[in-house]
Parts: sequence; C-alpha cells; structure tokens
Amino acid sequence: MLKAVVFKEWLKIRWVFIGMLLINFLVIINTYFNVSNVLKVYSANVYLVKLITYEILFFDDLMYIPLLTGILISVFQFFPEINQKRLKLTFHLPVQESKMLFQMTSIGFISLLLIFLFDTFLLSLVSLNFFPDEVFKSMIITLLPWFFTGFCGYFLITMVFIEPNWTKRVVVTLIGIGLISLFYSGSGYAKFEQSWWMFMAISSLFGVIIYVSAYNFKRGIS
Amino acid sequence: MKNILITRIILALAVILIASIYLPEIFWKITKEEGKSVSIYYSVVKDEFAFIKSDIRGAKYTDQKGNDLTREEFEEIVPLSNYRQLLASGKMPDSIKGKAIIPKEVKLNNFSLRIRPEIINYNLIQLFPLMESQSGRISLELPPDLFRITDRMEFITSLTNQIDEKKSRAFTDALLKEEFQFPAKRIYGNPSTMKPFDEGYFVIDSSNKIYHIKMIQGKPFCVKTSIPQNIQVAYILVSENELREFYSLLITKTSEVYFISYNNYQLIKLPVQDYNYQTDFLMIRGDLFNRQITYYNDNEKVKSLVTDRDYNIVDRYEENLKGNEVSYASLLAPYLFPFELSVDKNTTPMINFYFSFYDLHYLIFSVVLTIVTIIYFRKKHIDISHAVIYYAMVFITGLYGFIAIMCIRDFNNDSNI
Repeated sequence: MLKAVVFKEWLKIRWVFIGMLLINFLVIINTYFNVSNVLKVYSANVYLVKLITYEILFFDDLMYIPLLTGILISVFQFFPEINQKRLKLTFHLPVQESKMLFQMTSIGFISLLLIFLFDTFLLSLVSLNFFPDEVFKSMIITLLPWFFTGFCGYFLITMVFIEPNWTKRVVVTLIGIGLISLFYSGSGYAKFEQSWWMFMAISSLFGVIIYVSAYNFKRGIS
Repeated sequence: MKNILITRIILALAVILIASIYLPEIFWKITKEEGKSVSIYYSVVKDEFAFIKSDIRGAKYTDQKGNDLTREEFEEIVPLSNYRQLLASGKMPDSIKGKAIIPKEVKLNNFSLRIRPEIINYNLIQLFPLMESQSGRISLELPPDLFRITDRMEFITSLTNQIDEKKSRAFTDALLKEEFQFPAKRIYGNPSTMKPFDEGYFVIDSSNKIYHIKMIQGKPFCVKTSIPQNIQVAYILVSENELREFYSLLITKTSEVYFISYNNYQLIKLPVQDYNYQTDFLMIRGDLFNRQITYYNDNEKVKSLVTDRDYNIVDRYEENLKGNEVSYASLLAPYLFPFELSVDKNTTPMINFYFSFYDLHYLIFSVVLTIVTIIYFRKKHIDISHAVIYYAMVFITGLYGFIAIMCIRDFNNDSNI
C-alpha cells in the first residue's frame, strides 16, 4: 500500500518538483553571478566589509522561494484530490486516514527537504567560493527560517484543501499567515541564532494540526 | 484518531501563540501615542541644565527653571555644543569662566559617544579589517584582508579567499609572545575609515585578559593591557578621538562604565548609578569643562550627571519622561491581556520569543470568559472530562484561550473516536 501511495503522490508532484528544483537552481545561479559581477566592479575587501557591516544578504533573492515551493507542491498534490473528490475515497480505504495523510504529506515533506538541501548545497558552494567560513555559517542560520516557511506553507495549503468548513479554512489561513510572517522577522545575518530550534518546533506542530482537518474531512463537518 | 484531543490542544496552543503575538501588537498600534523626546544639555554659562523638548509640533527650548528660550538664547547658554553656529553669527563669547575660548580647542575637546542596548547585543559576523595605523596618509584605507582569531590569528585575503600565511604567523607569534590564550572570546573595534586615526582592536582572550591589537607599518602591535582579568566585559566601544584621552568606553556585565585611558590602559570609572546596559540608552558628551553622562531607560526615565574633567560629580538631573499622565491604553492592557509575546524587541536585533507578563488584573476578564466557555460547552453537551482542559486554558490564557476555543468550536465525539 505504501509503495502505491508513494507512486501515486510522486506522479502528481513530479513536474512541480522538477520545476521548482529548476527555479531554485536558477535563483541560486543568479545569486552566484550577482556576487561574481559585484566582485568584478568593486574590490573584494570593500564589498566584504560592507556585507558584514551593513549585513547585506547576498542570497536574498531566495527569501520567498522556499515558501512558494511549499505552496506549489501542496497545490499540485492536494488540489486534484479535492477537485476530483478522490480524497474522500482515499480516506475510506482500509487504512486509517491519519496514517494515509501522514504517508501523503511525507512525500511532499521529503520533496521539500530535498529541494532545500539542494539549495543549501549550492549556496554553500557560492559562499565558500567567495567568502570565509564565518559568512557561510551565518548564511545557514539565516536560511533556516526561510526553509521553515516552505514547510509551513506546504502544511497550511494542505490544511486549507482538506478542511471542509469554510470558517475553519479562514482561521487556519490566518494562523498560517501569522506564523509564516514571524519567520521573516528581523533583518541581517543569523538573527535566529538563539531561537531557530524553537521556530522549527513550532513548524513541526503546524504539521500535526493538519490531522484536525483530516478528522473533520472524514466526518464531513462543514 | 485517538490523538485528536491532543491535536486539538496543539491547534489551540498555536492559536494562543499567534493571538498573544498579534493582538497586543495591533492594540498598541491602534493606541499609539504621540512621541516626545527630551535632549538634556548642561549650560557652562548658567551652571544648570538646559533642555530641548521635542514632539511632532517641533522643538521647545527651556532652562532648568522651565523658562522658555528662543533657539538663539538656548545656543548662547550652551555655547560649546553650538560653537560653530555662534562663531558664524559672531556671538561666541571670548572667554567662559575666565578661560579664553579658542575654537580649535573647543572642537578638539568636544566629543559625543552613544551606546544603545541593540549595539551591545549585536551578532556581527566575526571578521574584521585591521587597518594600517601609521600609513603616513591623511585618510584611512581598508586593508585587502579580514582577520579572525580562533586557534590563531588569521588574515584572509578577500580577493582570493585564501589565508595570508606570513601575516597570520607574524600576528599569531606577536600575540603568543604576550601570552595570548587562543581563541579570542570577543573582538571590539571601530572598522570605519571615517575617523581621524586608527586604534585597532581590543580583544578578550580565552582567559579574560584584554589585549590591544593594531598594525603599525605592516608590523603587529600586540599589548596585554593592565585591565584586571576579573572585569566581566559586556561591551567595548572603540572611539578614536583627536583628544587622545581614552581609547574606548568599557561597559561591564554589572553595568559599570569605564573609559580605557591612554595612560597605560588605566580604567577611569564613570559615576553612573542605576544604569542598565541591557535596557538603557547611554550618551556621553564631553567639552572643554565637563563630561555629561545621560542615560534613558526605555523612554520612561532619564538621568543625567555632569562631572568635571576629573570625573567628580558637579550636578545631576532626573526626570520621569512619562510624567503623571497614564494612557488609557496602558491602563486597559493588563485587564485585556494576561501576557504579551513578541519575537523582537528594541533592545536587541536578535529574534526570539520575548515574554512579558502584566499582572493578575487579567483574571477578572479571564473569569468572565471562563464562565462564557462553560455555558458554551454545556449548550454543546460536551462531557466535563473533555471540557475541563479547555476551561483551564481559558482561565490561564484569558482572551487568547477564548479565541482559540472559538476558532476550534467543534469538540464533539472525542469519546467515540
């Protein structure tokens, strides 16, 4: 059964996965050329001192891409389910709906994780190529909350699709927007240095809340 | 789905979390009052304080007795801070307190230092440019490399991103000769080229000794200072000033404030009391006659001390900035909200969860909301064993908990799952 679910989910998201992987790749390539071109015009020491003193994020083009990635993967994964009324059928299979939902969202979650690992790997190459290790470490901590928005965006949209009650959809959306906005607080490098793990814990709680919507869906509350 | 109860509680907690961040934020945004500020000066002419009180309507100049002054009158009683304007208008006195006033000397002795808690709590990337201190040039220039002090002192050439081994070895050896214990705990400097000269960095080694590091004609200058090892440094503000009376301002973790003097790094203690580096904005002004130390506590209280050049207190001033006026919003907030959560605050750039509890006034509203919740659950015929956790939630978290209940609304059938 698990194999079948994985295959079915992969069929739905494979093109958006590849597409978003490509978009993430292009944004990072753009970042690479931006830095490389700046270093062709300005002297490296002046740029680096400015980057540190004024906390210029050389990779800020990527800021909203993880969120967009999370949202689109969820749309491609769950919109067909709702639109073609397949989810009701899926939840009536002889597997508990929470288990089924866990398997389905795991596919989306792993896809996002792979894309974000790919981003981290590419940006690490850019950072380590041009800048000392300290910039790389600060970059990783700066990136983390942006990646969390990707996961939160994914769970939020999934919840909005699954939730049968419109009022609750609005409530969930408000909670989601409120939560996601927090991840964009502050400016500069590594401002989540002391708290990223708390934000990670909150993101994972968001992944749990989804089961309330699944439960409502199964019972057909609207 | 036996865990649906736990999941619902998590949903409720998420609502409480978001509500406790955004509701107070919206409340304070709606009830925001006009901003007022006061700048405190010391008049060497009248030997008393003088003020510029500003709000959205403009600035008001007064003396310590509260008499209104024109801008020109104010400038005349605070001549050293306004010497350029007074020179331009020909109103600069020839002498003050029997001392002849020479504009060059006034300029040399005037300085101003400011430290906000936000600067102290900053987490800048730990890479620093070490400028040439005696290049023979008029203006300072950035070096081609940045340094770090980990298990040795390393210079990384920015263009190649490679370590300059020769320079790194020279500085590491110079530090080892001074018994520096790697790695550095903190590095403080002023990496700006917009200053008259460069004094390099004050560095705390792993055994809490404070070193002075700079580069003189390409060679390392590393000195173990005489600053006691037991001083717990919170921040060092390096500020190069032509007066060359002090290298920097040192603030300890117990909120004591010192100058690190040019006299063999001897510490000069400033007579501040009740200053808190985590919350207060500190400003130090100096002129030919005095030093004025002013600190603002969260825009509520301001204290100002004036000392002579030997740091003996000459005069002091204290004011409650909010006066006796209490806004309706600040009276209402403790009744509405049990606590406030925010991810940022103005004393630090770091993002975290900052919790502030008002007082127990919220319990009045909380009890009312709990009663409403009980009635609501009764009407829905929800079993008391399931409902009691939600009652507790509303009682403890007040308005936030009630909003969470209203968001979830559906509590049925838990026992049948």
